Amino acid sequence: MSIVDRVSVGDARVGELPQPVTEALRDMSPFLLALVPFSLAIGAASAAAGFSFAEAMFPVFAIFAGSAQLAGVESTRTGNGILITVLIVLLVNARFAFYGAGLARWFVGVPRWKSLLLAIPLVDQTFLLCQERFSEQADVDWRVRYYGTVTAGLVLCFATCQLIGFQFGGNLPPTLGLHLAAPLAFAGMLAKSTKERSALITACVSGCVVVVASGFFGALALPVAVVAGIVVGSKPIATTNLDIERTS
Amino acid sequence: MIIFATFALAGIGTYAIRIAPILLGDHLLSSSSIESRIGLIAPAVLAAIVSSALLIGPHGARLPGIVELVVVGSAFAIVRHTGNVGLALAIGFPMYWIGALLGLT
Repeated sequence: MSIVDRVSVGDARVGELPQPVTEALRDMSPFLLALVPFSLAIGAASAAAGFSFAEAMFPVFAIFAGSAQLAGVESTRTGNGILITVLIVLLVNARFAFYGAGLARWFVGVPRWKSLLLAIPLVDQTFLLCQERFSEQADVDWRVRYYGTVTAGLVLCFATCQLIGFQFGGNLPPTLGLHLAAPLAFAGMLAKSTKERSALITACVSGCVVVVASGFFGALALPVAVVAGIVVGSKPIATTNLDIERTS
Repeated sequence: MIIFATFALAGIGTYAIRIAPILLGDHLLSSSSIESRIGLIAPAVLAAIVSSALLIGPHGARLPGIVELVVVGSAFAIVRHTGNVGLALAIGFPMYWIGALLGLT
């Protein structure tokens, strides 16, 4: 198969674009590297919480969201009930509503049932990768294949590493620093997502508020901080929009 | 069984969150202010998670370990400079291991 696909928009050929599978594999490699220790840590945390093998692996496919799963495992371990744990998971995953909005925009023209299937594994990594890549690729088929490849790679890595972490995590020495996997991976993603001033302000506010709010809101501190960060960070955007409207 | 029920409910809720904009797409996507805020969700969540991991312990806010702070801060700076997310872990873990070998952790 050729390394490039000929892509067209309507009837007009707009050029040759790299094959989506190749591009996806290349783009997601740093994310996979980041996902390995993070997934190992989640698997180890599940084992430490006393989960059986089936209980540890079930959330991988039920929610497919690492940070929410980790939050859910921690909540269960500390004795929170079903409702509190579910609420925590949903609040951590509330951002997926915005990712879903992005997905709806990426796959305009795709049958609704297909969009609903594509939404199942939508996570931070797929959103960040696709948001950047799809700004330069208009062909929907190309996008679906790229998205599918990224998703397959993430699921495979996520599940396999959690399995390994569950089986062997308890035997790894703490000096390996697996507990740092999540903050390191997220710090890297954060550095990439704060190129604009408003994003940097949002991150600073959110990062500070979560610490202060943890004393008052407990597990709900994270969503409170996220909302506070967005409200403060979006002010420059709102001001800019207002200025544009006044000018026009 | 309780764990299965918990994560099954969480999974259903999470999927509902993911597909809500697809089912209600026209209403959500027509708002430019919401679209502007989409880009702010990721940094807000990521910053909150990083901050929580470093600065919040089982009993509330805590001072972070100096090695952890330096490692995560360096990872942030390196990725910001290079744009390569994979370097956060590729450099962060060896830095932590060196700190552990020196007895700083």
